[in-house]
Formats: sequence, structure tokens, C-alpha cells
Amino acid sequence: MRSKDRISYFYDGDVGSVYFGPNHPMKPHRLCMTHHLVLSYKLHQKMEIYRPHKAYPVELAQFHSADYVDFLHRITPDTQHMFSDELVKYNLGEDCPVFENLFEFCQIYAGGTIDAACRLNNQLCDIAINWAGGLHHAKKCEASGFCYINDLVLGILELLKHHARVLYIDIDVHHGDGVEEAFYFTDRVMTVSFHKYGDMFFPGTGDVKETGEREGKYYAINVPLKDGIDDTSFTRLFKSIISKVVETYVPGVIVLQCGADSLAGDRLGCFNLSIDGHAECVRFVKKFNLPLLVTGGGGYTKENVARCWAVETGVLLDTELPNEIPDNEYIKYFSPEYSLRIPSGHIENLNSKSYLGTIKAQVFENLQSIQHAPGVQMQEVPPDFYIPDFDEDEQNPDERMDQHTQDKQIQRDDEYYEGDHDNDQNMEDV
Amino acid sequence: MAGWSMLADDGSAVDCDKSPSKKLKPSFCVDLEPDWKVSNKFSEACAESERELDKLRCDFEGFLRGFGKEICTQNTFRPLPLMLGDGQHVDLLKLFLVVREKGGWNAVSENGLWHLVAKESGLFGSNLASPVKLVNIKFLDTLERWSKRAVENKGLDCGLNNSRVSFSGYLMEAHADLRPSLTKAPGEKQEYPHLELLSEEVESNGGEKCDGVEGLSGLNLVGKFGDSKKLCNEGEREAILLDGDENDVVIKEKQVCLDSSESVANVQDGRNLCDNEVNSLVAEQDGGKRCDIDDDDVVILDPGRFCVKRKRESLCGMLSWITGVAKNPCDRAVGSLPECSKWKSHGKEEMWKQVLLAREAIFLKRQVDSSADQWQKAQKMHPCLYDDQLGSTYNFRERLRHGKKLNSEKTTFQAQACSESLSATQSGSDKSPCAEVMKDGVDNELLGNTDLFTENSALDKYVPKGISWKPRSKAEVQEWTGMTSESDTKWLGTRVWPLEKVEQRYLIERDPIGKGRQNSCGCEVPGSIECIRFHSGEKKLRVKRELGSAFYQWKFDEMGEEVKLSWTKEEEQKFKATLKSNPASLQTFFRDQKFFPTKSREDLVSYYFNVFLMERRGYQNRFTPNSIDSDDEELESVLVTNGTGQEAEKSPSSIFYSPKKPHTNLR
Repeated sequence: MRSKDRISYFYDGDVGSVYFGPNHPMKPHRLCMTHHLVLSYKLHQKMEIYRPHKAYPVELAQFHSADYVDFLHRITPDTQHMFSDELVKYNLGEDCPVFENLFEFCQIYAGGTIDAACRLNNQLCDIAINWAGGLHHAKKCEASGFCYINDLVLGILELLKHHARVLYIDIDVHHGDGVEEAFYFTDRVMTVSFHKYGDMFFPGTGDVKETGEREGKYYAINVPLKDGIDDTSFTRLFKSIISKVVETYVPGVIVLQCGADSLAGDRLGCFNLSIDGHAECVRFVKKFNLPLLVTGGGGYTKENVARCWAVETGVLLDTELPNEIPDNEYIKYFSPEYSLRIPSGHIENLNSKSYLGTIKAQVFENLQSIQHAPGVQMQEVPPDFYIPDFDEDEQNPDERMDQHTQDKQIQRDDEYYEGDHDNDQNMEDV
Repeated sequence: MAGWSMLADDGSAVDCDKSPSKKLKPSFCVDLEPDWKVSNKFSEACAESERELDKLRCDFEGFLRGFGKEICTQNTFRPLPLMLGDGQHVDLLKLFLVVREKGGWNAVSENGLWHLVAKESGLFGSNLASPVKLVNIKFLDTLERWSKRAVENKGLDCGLNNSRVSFSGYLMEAHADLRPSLTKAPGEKQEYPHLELLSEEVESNGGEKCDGVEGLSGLNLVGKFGDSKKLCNEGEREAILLDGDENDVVIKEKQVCLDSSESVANVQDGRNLCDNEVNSLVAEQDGGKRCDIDDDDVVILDPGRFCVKRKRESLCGMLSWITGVAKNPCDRAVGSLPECSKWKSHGKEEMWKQVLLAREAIFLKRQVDSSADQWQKAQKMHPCLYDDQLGSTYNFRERLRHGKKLNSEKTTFQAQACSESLSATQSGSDKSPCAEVMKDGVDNELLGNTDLFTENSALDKYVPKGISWKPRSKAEVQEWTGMTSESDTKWLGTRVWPLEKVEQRYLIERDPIGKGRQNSCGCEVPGSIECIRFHSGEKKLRVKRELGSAFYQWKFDEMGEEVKLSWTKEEEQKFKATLKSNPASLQTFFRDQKFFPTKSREDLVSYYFNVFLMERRGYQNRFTPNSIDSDDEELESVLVTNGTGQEAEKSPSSIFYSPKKPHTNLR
């Protein structure tokens, strides 16, 4: 039995040997645990699993500055002492240590998200999952918050080749600042981030007042939350905001960052979400039946991360997972209950009803500005027939899109983007 | 926009013309004098609470202005911000939002909600419906329509940029103007606090203030250039400087601009405008608005000099008259327009005459504008790239010197200024002070911008609070072309599962998918180490059989406690011992070949995660099930490093920093 959606899932076993350093909360090993759990629940039988290509530096440089990518490529733990200036410049060190296979790790997770975007673009699947991706803090020229390469931005840039509007949703406990910044000035990507804000919580951005600028004004949505938010209030808020966003913005594709540090009991997080509450958001987003790219993100209590993403893989496959965790290599990690459910958090919920109401009202007000601002309504941005400078290396002349795929795209584009193209070129054409 | 200011300056010029012996100042005051409230407002604006709002408003107004400039070749646009007849400031942003909230212009009009809109926009008083409606027509409706057309986003952007560019220059200039005046004229001490405040404001808020005045300064430029092309009026130009040094009129960037457009107005005046009243009314109206523009930037030093309070309504009257005609052209009350030849014989009390005069002024502005456009086009190169910074600094000082010199001759000057303005022709000599000043102005634009760029780049104005914004952090997003661009089909990943070709697999799996663990098993002691190991092993075998080659692709062969099998007892002991003795150097330990020459780093990491930590977890499971923390991997290290843990030492800028977060007993 297959789910009616075609699901592509990306995994590379090499992430298992990535080690950030002693006491570093980011453990790529959680990805192995997730994958094991997914397999033990036999979810692999309902989807296609791909090994991502390792993204080339030139691909990474589509967003990141070439010098930064180059530096990441070159630097090793043995040579880092010679580059103290650069380490500071690129914010490597404490949060983002230099470790042995750093660059390869970046290539894997970024490649996964890029591949996922490509598969969606080519309509080879309806949902693509890359739990290794979702490193939303990385900036154009520097690392930040355990993130070196911003795979989400790269994936979204890829999706923008085929879609007029991309919606990015972020339920990591930290603000999705890297993605927001990258698309702060454009209305082609709407970023919506639910996160803990205040008390100097990393990264310190994500106030509800940060809404984007210029063309991107009101196209960045921030939902700042306080400690201890629970399932009920979170999912209610999430659903009302996201449904309004989708209704208003009419995205062609959704990118969902499922950082699991918003779960109760996370080492760095401070929310009280259960796995069910977290997964409910995924379920809700899936219901829009739009092409969907799902990535991981934060998550520092690794057995909970594995639980959470396994459950969410199940949600995306329309499969309810039994609570008892099947035997697998890492079953010990899931003691003592060996179950999917995790104890709910006991952090005091500081989000009063009125506070959440205010936030929601503010977000809705900003959304209204989009709704009623005619320039950014659902007609497309007029083409300016700008031919970008394409690096020859990036293109593979051997690869051609087959005619069938092309036709399908053309059809689909018409369906989606027929609107008044109020521009000179079209006038002439008519 | 500039059209109005020209009318305005006509007014003052006329004043000046009428009484050449009078000082220029009063007439300037007409232009520049806002209510005394302004200074209050200014200090209020300084209050932290207001800043946020102000900034937003400024942003919006800045946008409106830039927008107005962009389309002003096709359309007239109004100065911002504005006041109602009774002197209330209209918060355009709020108004815009309120109208939109009510469903837009049409909805509001149909339902007669204008009075409500006025109220919600924070305006007090009765009968505000029509003024508010008017404001909407004049300011916001255009924006709405224009944006509907969604034309040339780029153009707009560019326009905005240009105005920003010019702003910075003015900011600098204003600042420089301020400085000498602060040091001079000690007799006017009581005004200094204001000035200093202003100067501080200019300094500290350079970037922010940019919003509030950018459009206007763009206009300044227009005025200046129009000036040089048309008049090259020395007197006028110097009068400006004189003014700047004088210190009893408002000292600020916009002033220069007003003055410069004034000179244009003077010509206009000399040529064809003689209507004192209309013009002064217009001027006054405009003056009021201008003062608004300056809002918190402006400090009026001498409220006592403020001339006469005049009726602002008259221009509003004209505007509503036009609106009325436009809406209902056949209305008898409108009457008919006489022959062109008879226009001159009619007095200014006729509405249409006022309109014609206004139109005339606006036309003039357009010519001016187009000449300025040329400069703006040439200015595409980023000001940063100009390397004449030194030169311009020099010129700038030169210019100030001119100003000082002129200051001493000021009385004679004013008369001259006015009379000369009537007869001035393009001298053609670039060496004339006027031309020099012009040049300086331009240079200062560049200088100012260059300077400001380093600290407050144009993009800085978009800095959301708390973000150390780097404009370079944004991704290059192409505009949507309506068609999908060539997509790379190369990177779709390599399919691992389902297997490409059916390998020989013995599917002996009969358990339903994801059934979960069996609660009961046949083991002697269910839940014991042996039991778990047995089931895991059993499971693994099944998985291996089923996955075939995928099993190896996913490195499942390198995972789980099976990893242990490739290690000897001695090696394991050594691993544990080393880790215990030196837990903080795990990273080095993994890399250093000297401990385990035969093991690769991957092997070590794999052993660490799959065996070492697993065993510890297994131990915890059995002995301390209530305080398990598999993620605090260095239990030993915590003990060794005196239990402080690393988190405590992290700076607030680190993601580790997690206040109020209990770091122990996570479960």
C-alpha cells in the first residue's frame, strides 16, 4: 500500500561519523537514529529513499559568498590555528567548531535539500524530506548557531526557478534568521517563523515587528513566543496563522523546517510541545496538498529528535505509528518506556491568552496589508527579461529535461500563474 | 511636489519684492515656520517610545515621497507629511491602514465612513470627513492605483535610491551648517539647546532620519539644478548661505532646498505671477506643509518672528474644488472657463484662476525636474566610487567661507537678491559663486554619502531592531519571469530505495508494518540485556536481508553494537581509559592517530556513538532511569571540569545561551 503522495526521502549514512566536538549539543548521529527508527517502523516501504549528491562549492556559492565557501572547504582542525582572523570573520569557533569532515557534512545536507527541491521542481514527487537539512541560521558570509551552509536558502532558490511564490515555515524553537534575512527584501518568499523570543534567546531576532522591507515588506512573519508554550495554544496559533498565510499568499510550494528543539525536554529549547503537537503542525501543512519540502533543523535531545522525525515521516506518509518502538539498533536510547510518546514538559507556560491574541492580531494585520496592497496581489511580477549571468560550470549540458516533463510544467504553470501579466512584453505579444 | 513649493516661494518672493528693505527672514519664516509645537514634537519624538512609530511612519512617508518623485513626470505629487487646516498632523500611514482595514477607498466612500476613518486615524474634530477623503485622494489613492499597475518596480527602487543618495548629502550639509552657527553668534544662547539637540539628532540618527527627508532632499536637488540652469542667480544663492549662517531662521537641510527653489520661484514671479494673495496663500499653505515635513528635524529658534497666521483652508478649498469638478464636471455651479485671452483679466478670487496658476507653477517644476533627472541618471555609479572626497571637503569649506563673507553684506544683499533674480540670466561662467556652490552641493552629496555609507549605508535604514543587519546577507532573487527557468535535473539524488533491480531477497517478514515491539517474547528474562540484544540482532538480520545493498549504502553495517565486533577487548579498554583520563580532548583524541593507529577517525566516532555511549545509556537505563541524559555525553568530563558545564560560560550571543533553562534533569 502506498500513500497517494509520492514521497522522496533523503539520507546519507556518512552523517553518522560527523562529530562536532565534545559537549557540542549538535549530534548528526541523531540522523542515524532517526533513519533507524524510520526503517524499524518499515516506513521505507512507502517511499523512495535517495542518497543526495554532495553539493559542489559552486552550488553553495549561489547563496553564500565564494570566499566563505572556499574557506569552509579548506579549513581543517589541523590548520585552523593559522587562520584565526578568518575564523573570527566567518564566526567559526565556539558555536560552529571546525571539525574533520565539516565540509563534507555541509555538502551532504545542502545537497539533500537541493536535490529535494529539484525533485519537487521536476514533479518527481509531492513531498521531499531531508532531515539532515534545515540549518536555518547560516548567513551568506558566516556560520551561526551550528549552521554553516544555509541549505534552506539554497533549496528555496532552487524552488524559485519554478515557482512564483515560496512559503517558508519554521517551527524550530530558534528564530529562522538566516532564511528570513536572505529573503527579507523579496515578496517571492514569505518566511513564517514560530520561535522563542526574548531573554536574549538566540539569535535575538524575530520580533513580531520585523516584517520585511521594500518589496518584501510584510513578507516576513515572526511569531515570537515565550517559554513553555504547550500543544494546545501552539497548534491553535499555528493553524490560524498558517491557514491565513496560505489563503493570502497562495504559495506554489511550501518549505517546512521542523526543528525538534521546540519539543519538551530539549537540551536547548524551552517549549512544552509534545511530539504529537509538533507533528500536528506537519499534518496541517500537508493538508494543503501543495508540493512540500520538509527539513529537520535543531533538536538536541537526540532520542526525542529521532522519535519526532520518525513520527513526522509517518504523518507525511499518512501512517500512524504504534507507540511501542520496534526493536532496532538504538533501542536502548528509547528506554525506559521504549515508546514514541515523551513526557510532557513541565516548564511554566508564560504565554498568556492575551499575549498570544495580540501576536496573532498583529500578524493578521500585517497579512491584511498584503491582501489589500494591489501591487503584490496575486498577479505575477512582470518579467524583466533579465538574463542572469550563468556560470557554465553550473550547467550540465548533458542533461536535458525530457519533453514530457517540460510539457507537464508548462501546463501546470498556466494553471497556477495565469493572471494578468500587466507588462509591456505581453501587450506586444497580444 | 516641487510645484507647490515654487508657488510657496513665489509668495515669499513677492513679499520680498514688495518690501525690499525688509529683511529676508520673515519671508523665509513663512516657509519654514511650523507651529511652535514642532519643537515640542521634536523632543517628544526623541522619546524612545515614539521612535519606533516614528520610524515606521517615516518609512512610509519616505516611500510615498520616493514614489511621488518617481511618478512626478506624469503626475503631481504632494509634499509630505501634511497638516489639516486646523494644524493637525495627518499620519498618512495610519490613515492608509485604516482605510484599508475598512475595505479600501470605495468601500469607505460608499458606506460614508470617512468621519470614522478620521477618528481612527487619530484626528480630532468634527467635519473631518471631507478633508480626510481629500487627503486620501491626493496622497494615497495615487499610490494605490499606481501600485495596482505594478509598473517598473525597478524604477521605483532606483528613484528611491537616488533620493536617498541626495539626502545624505543634505544631512551632511545641514550638519556642517549647524556647526558654524553653533560656534558663532554667542548672543543667541538661549536657542542653543535646540540646536545642539538637533545636531546630535542629526549625528546619531543620521541613518534613521534618512527616511523622513529623503524624498524632499531629492527635491532639493531638483531645485538646485533648476536653479543653476535657469538663473545662476548669485544673490539668491548667497542669500541662502547667509541664511544658513544667520541662525535665526531654522537651520537645517531643507532650508537650503527651499531657498533654492525660491530662486526659481522668483523668476516665475518676475515673469508672470503678480497675484500676491493667491500666492501668499499658496505659499503659506505650502509653508505649513513644509514645516510638517521637517517635523522633528526642525527646530524653530525664534517663534516670535513667526509672521501672521494665515488661512490654510484656501488651498484646500481649491483642491476640493478641483476634486468636485473632476467628479462632476457638468455641475452648473462650476461655471465655464472663459477664453484663454481673457484669463489675465480675471482676479485670483476665481477658483479656476488659482488652479491655472498652480498648474503653471507645476509645469515649471517639471522642466526643472527633467534637468535634474539628467544628473540623476549620470549618478548611477555608486557615490562610494567617486574618489573626490578630499576635493569636496575642501570645496565645502570654501563654500562656508563664501557664506561668512556674505553674511557681512547681508542687508544690501537682499535687495539685490530679489532684483537680480528678476533679471538674472545664465552667466555661463562656471566660476561664479553660484556655480561653485552648485558644485559644492553636488560634491557634498557625494561626500556625505560616502561618509554615511560606511556607518549608515542606505540599507541600514532597513535594519530591524536588534539585527546586526548586513545587506550582503540577502540572497539574489531574480524577478519572476512567469516561466520556469532551466532546471538542473542532474541533482535529483541517487535512488537507494526501492532497489533499482530486485535483488535476491528472502522476504520472510510477515509482521505488519510498524507493528511495534512484541510485548511478550520467548526469552528467559524479557527486557534483560540478552533479550534486547537478541531481538536487536534478530531485527538487524531481517533488516539486512530486506534491504539488500541499501543496508550497506546506509552504513547500517557500521552501526549499532555490532561495531564492537571489530574491536578487541584491549582496544575497548584503551578507548575507555583514554576517554576517562582526558575527556575534554575528545576531538583531538578522535583525530590523533597515536592512540589507535589502526583505527580511522570514523571508526572511533562510530565506536563512540554506537558502543561507548550505548553502553553507558544501557547502564543508565538500569541504574539511574530517572536521570538519564544521553546528550550530556561527557558525564565524566562534567565531573572533571568541576561540574560547571560549558553552558554557563557561553556568551549571550551563543545559541548555547538558554536562560531560565534548567540544564540538568532534562527528563
